[in-house]
Amino acid sequence: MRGLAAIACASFLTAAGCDSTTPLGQEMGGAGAGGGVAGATASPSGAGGGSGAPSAGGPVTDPGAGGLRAGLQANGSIAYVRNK
Amino acid sequence: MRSVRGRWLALGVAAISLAGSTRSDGATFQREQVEISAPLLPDVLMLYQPFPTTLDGEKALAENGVYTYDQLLNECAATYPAITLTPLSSADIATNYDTVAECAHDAHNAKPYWTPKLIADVDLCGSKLGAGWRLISEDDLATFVDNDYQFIHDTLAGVGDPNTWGPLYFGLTVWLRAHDGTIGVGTLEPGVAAGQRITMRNLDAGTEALQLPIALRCIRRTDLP
Repeated sequence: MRGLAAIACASFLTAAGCDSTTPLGQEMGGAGAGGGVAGATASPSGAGGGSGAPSAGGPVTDPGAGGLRAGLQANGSIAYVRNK
Repeated sequence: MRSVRGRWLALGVAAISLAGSTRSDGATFQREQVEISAPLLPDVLMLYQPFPTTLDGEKALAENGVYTYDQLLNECAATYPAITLTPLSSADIATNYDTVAECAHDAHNAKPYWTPKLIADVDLCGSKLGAGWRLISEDDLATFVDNDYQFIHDTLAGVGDPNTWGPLYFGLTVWLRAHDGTIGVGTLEPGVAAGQRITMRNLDAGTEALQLPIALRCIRRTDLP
């Protein structure tokens, strides 16, 4: 799920049309404020999202362009988003 | 007896709460951002001095004798041309990581040899990295699952030459705070049974620097909407 649809799903969690089987990482996909991982260390925009994530626990390994790029950061930290 | 207005208010609050915590499939919507810092590194020439006898002395040692990765990165960039401050590709970041270790060792006497009592007594993570950062805890290890450990491991795979600085500076054996508040050592490596992640406990009293490759990494976990 990408773009505006993803933003809608992320912002209004019960919005119709959200694919309940979409992995979290894809649900966060797309660019634009509110659509991604807000407050990510490597990104002033808070935008982002991408593909791939375990369904329960563990990291979203590839949040995608525009936001936090999971992995080794410029400040030496290992950063990622995980499902709790 | 609750008023009609009060009941509507309660229903509204419940509806908002439900919308903010539940996805369309009814599953709980909870994520968090995990950051695990690069190791803090002490200047061992300072650490090898007689251990301070007061807490203020320990805090001064932490203030003056402990480097953050950012400090080393910026100071080393002047003399280590392999370091690239910006822009940074993934390859640049990996090279920086390795080069900072070399510079830390050669130019700053900064090695991952820690005095346990200093870790126990001083909030090194908070004071050096800022609000929200803390020492990795036994609780952190308990809440991580195999995917977390695998991701952490994979992120550092290929970073740091295994024949030189890598294992010494960037290993996944880490200092931690145990459930009982004492300082111990554990591992972030994947494939370790839950009951075997803590390898040393109750080290608080130690005032001698341990010359072991145990990284002092900090953690910050931020809930996401």
